[in-house]
Amino acid sequence: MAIKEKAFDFFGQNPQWKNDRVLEAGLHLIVQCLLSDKRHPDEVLGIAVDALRDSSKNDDTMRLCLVERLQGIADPVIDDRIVVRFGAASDQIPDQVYSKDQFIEGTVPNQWDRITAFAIGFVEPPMRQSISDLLTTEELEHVEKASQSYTEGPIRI
Amino acid sequence: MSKRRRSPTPRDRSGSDRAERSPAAVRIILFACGHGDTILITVAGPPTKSLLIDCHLPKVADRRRFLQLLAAHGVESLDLVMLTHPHLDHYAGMADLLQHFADAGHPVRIFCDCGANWRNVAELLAARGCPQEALKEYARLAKVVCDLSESQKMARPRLDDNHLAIPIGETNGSLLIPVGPDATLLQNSTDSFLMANRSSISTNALSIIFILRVTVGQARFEALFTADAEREGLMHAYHVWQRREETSHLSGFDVVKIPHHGSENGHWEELCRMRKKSRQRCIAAASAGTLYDLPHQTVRNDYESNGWTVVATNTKPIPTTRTRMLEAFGKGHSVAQPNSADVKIEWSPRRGVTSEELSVKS
Repeated sequence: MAIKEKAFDFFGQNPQWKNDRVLEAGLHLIVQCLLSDKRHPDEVLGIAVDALRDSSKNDDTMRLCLVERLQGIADPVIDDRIVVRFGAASDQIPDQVYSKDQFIEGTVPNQWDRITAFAIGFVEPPMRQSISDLLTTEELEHVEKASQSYTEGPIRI
Repeated sequence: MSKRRRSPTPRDRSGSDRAERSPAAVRIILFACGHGDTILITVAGPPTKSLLIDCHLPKVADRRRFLQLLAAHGVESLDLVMLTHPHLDHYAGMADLLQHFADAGHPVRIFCDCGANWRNVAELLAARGCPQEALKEYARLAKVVCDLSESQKMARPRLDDNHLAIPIGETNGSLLIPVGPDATLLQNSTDSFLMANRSSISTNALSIIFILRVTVGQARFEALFTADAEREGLMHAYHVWQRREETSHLSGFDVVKIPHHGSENGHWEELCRMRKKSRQRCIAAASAGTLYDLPHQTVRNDYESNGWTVVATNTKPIPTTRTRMLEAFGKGHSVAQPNSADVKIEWSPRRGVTSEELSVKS
């Protein structure tokens, strides 16, 4: 995919981010999400770059929050709400819940949540993906069957 | 009055030699396989038993090197293969490995997982954006596991915190003691809990957590294996361990496999304080050190400041950003890096816990 090459070039040419592993991890997570998108690579990469450029102005804690939140994007969509989850790095902060409209209208107040929104906006809503779309009938049967063939009773290794 | 230093008698020397040569009662090898877990455990017999905890060997070259390592350590067959939880960096290539041993006439005797409903787990993984190839590998593993268990070549227990301790070998001196995951959680998962709450449960919560206990004479070794458990799962497992031991004061562990490759979300500070005082300590951060630079520095610091020795398969500074991105996106997620090494941890009553790096030969 074109976006991959662009991302590689981008990472390689920006020494200010080269030694910032937390930031790199955040950038990786953003790009990982964007890779599944159908939009033009220039557009999505541009958004990722802008997001990270903003984040680089802040301290380590905030960048860590970025990463933690992005790690939560795997399950952000519940009905019409979008949940921005905080990870272990910020135990004291509750999950933030926004409506989709807030993201669409750009009225989400926190820049870090806006960054997350970029990623959320481009990734396929997780609830829409089903294994029946991803696996063949035969593969589904294997997975189904695997829960039925356990052995009972004591064992000795 | 001066004292003459007594030279070592032949008896002293032979005793020392015996200590040097004494075989390890337990050997744990962390196989350098990129970001994933491949952990081989051998428990000395009679007969010697070999256990494989998870498997991240997605490429033929990875599996070939792993088989070479088994051969180098005299392991012809595996007595147990454990899938701690259904993530690709813990099961990639596992189907091929199981099939390899079956085809070679040394089928794996026992395969175990946590017992969560495979179909529900697959749905959950899909819903969370799991790549198609990872799901297909999961389905392939399901097929091989079913085929081998149906042909009665392989027992297939489910392990959770309700499971009894499992004896290893012919005596009862060695035990595999499951202390997680929470059986109630698993029961709920089979009752479509996962499906109804797919957005609120992490599949890391399904991780099998167990304690390996080996007793030789008066000496005892205990290692905690945590897979990718998160803080809540670890706390639960520790309470289970306390109940099983019927004490609120446990003596700690000789070896801990740091949860979740040393990430912060699997970090439980209390675990750092659970070490044995009289022995050398080692912590195993299995197969970490690729994209995310794990174990995380905070996690490493917490353990080291509590007197642990941290060992990991990434032994030197990780590569440049570009290299790491290529590794993640372009050239596979698994290949052992030039700066990585297999790590061997051994325990014997005389020497306690020791560790060393093994060079990786591709």
